[in-house]
Amino acid sequence: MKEAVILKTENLEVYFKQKKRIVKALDGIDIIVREGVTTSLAGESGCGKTTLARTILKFYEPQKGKIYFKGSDITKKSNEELLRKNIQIVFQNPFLSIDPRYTVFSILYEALGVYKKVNKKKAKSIIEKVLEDVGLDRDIIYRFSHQLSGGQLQRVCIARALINEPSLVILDEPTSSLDITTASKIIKMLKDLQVRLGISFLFISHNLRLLRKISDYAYIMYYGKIVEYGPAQSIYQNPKHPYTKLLLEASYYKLKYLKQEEISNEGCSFRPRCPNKTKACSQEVILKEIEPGHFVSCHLV
Amino acid sequence: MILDIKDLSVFYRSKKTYAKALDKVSFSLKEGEILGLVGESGSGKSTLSYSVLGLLPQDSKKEGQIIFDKENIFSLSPKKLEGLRADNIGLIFQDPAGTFNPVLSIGYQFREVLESKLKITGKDTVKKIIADSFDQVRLPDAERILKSYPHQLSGGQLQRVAIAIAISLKPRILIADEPTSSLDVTIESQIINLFKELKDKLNLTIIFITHNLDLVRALCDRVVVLYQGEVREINSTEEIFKNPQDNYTRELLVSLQELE
Repeated sequence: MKEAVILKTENLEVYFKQKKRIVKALDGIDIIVREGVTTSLAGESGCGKTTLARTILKFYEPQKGKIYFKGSDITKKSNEELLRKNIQIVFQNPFLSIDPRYTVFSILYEALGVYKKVNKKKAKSIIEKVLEDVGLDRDIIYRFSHQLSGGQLQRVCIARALINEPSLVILDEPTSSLDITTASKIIKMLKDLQVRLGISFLFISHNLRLLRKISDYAYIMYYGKIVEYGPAQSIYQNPKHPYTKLLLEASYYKLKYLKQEEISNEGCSFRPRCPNKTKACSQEVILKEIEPGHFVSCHLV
Repeated sequence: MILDIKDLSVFYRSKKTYAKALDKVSFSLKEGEILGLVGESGSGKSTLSYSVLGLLPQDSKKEGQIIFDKENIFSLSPKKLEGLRADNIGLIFQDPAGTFNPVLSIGYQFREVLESKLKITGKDTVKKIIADSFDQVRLPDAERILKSYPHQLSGGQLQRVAIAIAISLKPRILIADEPTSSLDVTIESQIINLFKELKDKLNLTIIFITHNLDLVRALCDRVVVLYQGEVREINSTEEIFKNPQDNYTRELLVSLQELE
């Protein structure tokens, strides 16, 4: 059974200008996020994971391509409200994403007030409800960020993302700045919330072991391109692209030594680092379906 | 036995009272082993490493003993302590970018360490030491790196340079305080394997501080589990994973299973 598509990007391209050269941060990205499940996006830092998240939220304007949310094109200005109301994000570092001079109440009240005109009394009950959802005590409502631990603060960020009842939440490494015990509690809570509220997640991380555990669909990204995607089980149990294999090897600390990385502008971008490259690899490479729903862009597969 | 910590308690001054950071911590370190120090933030991992280096703030209160080379670190004179830090115990921090001065070249900072700690100034000797230690950490292209400034290098390269500088002093103990938690997975894996290699090649004794049990399993021989300043469990890595005795250790293992 396939879940309905909630978000879809089509040939998305984002370039950044550096002094003399142009960096292709996103180089023709097509992804599909499905409703009510978790889609994961993995890759090393600098591969464009976060750029993709930010482009979906229109923090960056794509040079090319379209983003559809439930069928409507949200790259259009007229659909701005649809985007803001329905897609929310949780960042990696909760200390940086919360104003230190705001109390938990004012943080959540501000977020709530964007779409709903509610009086403070009503707001308080809504806020208490959402705090309960994320497993926080209502006592903390008048505390400031410095009075909370990293885990509590990340829960506040999640509450802020959830308060307007979005249908898609982008989680950008939400647990990598947290302790292992805290991280596992947050992950558990997110899974519960998903089951209860039917929210879709786009989960970004470089921790493949974590992604393996929680995701239903997986995308592997390398230098602005998707190199492999499909059902998570199929990707993680049966990785085909050498880059996916390398990431998995690294996540079990088995990767010992790697050549200085370079980027190849022609043909397969992974070529310089690939252990089994051949002549064919200097040719342009496209995504091929090798199992139902499992796509790989590699000449050797 | 290279380091022996006995009943170590440390209290930090906070306004009027003292806050307990370590509570009667005792364990010892054998030569040539990698000891994992595990605990969550606030458990006292870093306080412990600062104690061993004699870097605790002046107004903190310390009890117990840290015996290194038959001498108690707490009763050493400042000058002797300086010597201890120069070539006996090395430290590598979590954030490699924060370890270096951004306005000085890598080469300058490397030479400065050799000059101030080992009093080595001869151009050829310095060059040889630097080349050797870059070799040990598998950093190619030494010429270019020495001329670079920190912002021109990647996190993984910088951490390798930090390790190269630390081992150039030929320390007997290397304390690595979360050396990989700010790095990417692929880099992390390489650095972990580098530590293993260095241990085998140089017979380094390493205290590896981390909150990541997974890393401990991949790297360490023995584990000390810290919780709120107390040692909860000490055992070989194998035993800790197979047969955890303490509730907190069990909780850590359950969390690990949740996440992978």
